[in-house]
Amino acid sequence: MTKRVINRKMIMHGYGITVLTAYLVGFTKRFISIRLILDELLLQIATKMTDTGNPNSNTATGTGPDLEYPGIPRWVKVSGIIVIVVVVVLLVATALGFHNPSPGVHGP
Amino acid sequence: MIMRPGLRKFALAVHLTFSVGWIGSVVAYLALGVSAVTSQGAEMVRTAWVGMELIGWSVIVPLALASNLTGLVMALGTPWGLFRHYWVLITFVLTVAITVVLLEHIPDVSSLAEMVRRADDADLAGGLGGDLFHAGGGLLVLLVITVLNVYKPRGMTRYGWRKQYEQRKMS
Repeated sequence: MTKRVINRKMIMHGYGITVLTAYLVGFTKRFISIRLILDELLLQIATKMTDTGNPNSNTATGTGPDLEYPGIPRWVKVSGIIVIVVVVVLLVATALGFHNPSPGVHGP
Repeated sequence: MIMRPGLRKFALAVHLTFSVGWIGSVVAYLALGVSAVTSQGAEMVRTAWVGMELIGWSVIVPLALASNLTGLVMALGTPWGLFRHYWVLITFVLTVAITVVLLEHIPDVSSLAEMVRRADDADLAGGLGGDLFHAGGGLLVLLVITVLNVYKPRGMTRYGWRKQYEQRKMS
């Protein structure tokens, strides 16, 4: 009776260890595969970022975006247009006699 | 030549003093101009024009020249440079432009002040032009310059871009 119980217990114990081992192996495999997938994703993201994100990434090589002048900023263009309009208006006003460079000529 | 931090702060303090003084003196000139326009009394008109001439020659012109000079020192003595950033370049162009207009215009103010001194009270009783256009325009430009200097909007000139690239390459 006792031997049977012991044998059954040992069988169950052995079965438990087998299940536990199988579970641990499966978990490790899954973990490793997930890690690999994540690593690959991170690598892809990093590659994309170095390709397009950072304009100063090619400074050391002396090639790439650093050589390209970004152009005149919009605020400078807008200010330039405003200044040109003001100057033209002043010139026209002076030519038509609405604006006199010398003040108070209508005085004494 | 780039200034040391202590010298740079001192130069900035001097430049700010002259520049803010310039704006303040233009406001005072404008106030006298408004009283020359609005006042009906001959004595007040005469006083206003004499005051405008005095402020023009003895305060506005020296402060404008000093502000130009110290601004030039600030630009050339700091990493900002004079031609590297658009805000510095535009500030410089506007400052020189209004100084030129001021120097061209201030002799007219003198001749008018002289005319007003000699004029009869009856001629001045109706008021006289107060030179509001030039003073107001000048003040507007000075305020634009102030805003540019405070906000320092981004944007490098082609020259500044090239210089920056060369410096990066060397370091």
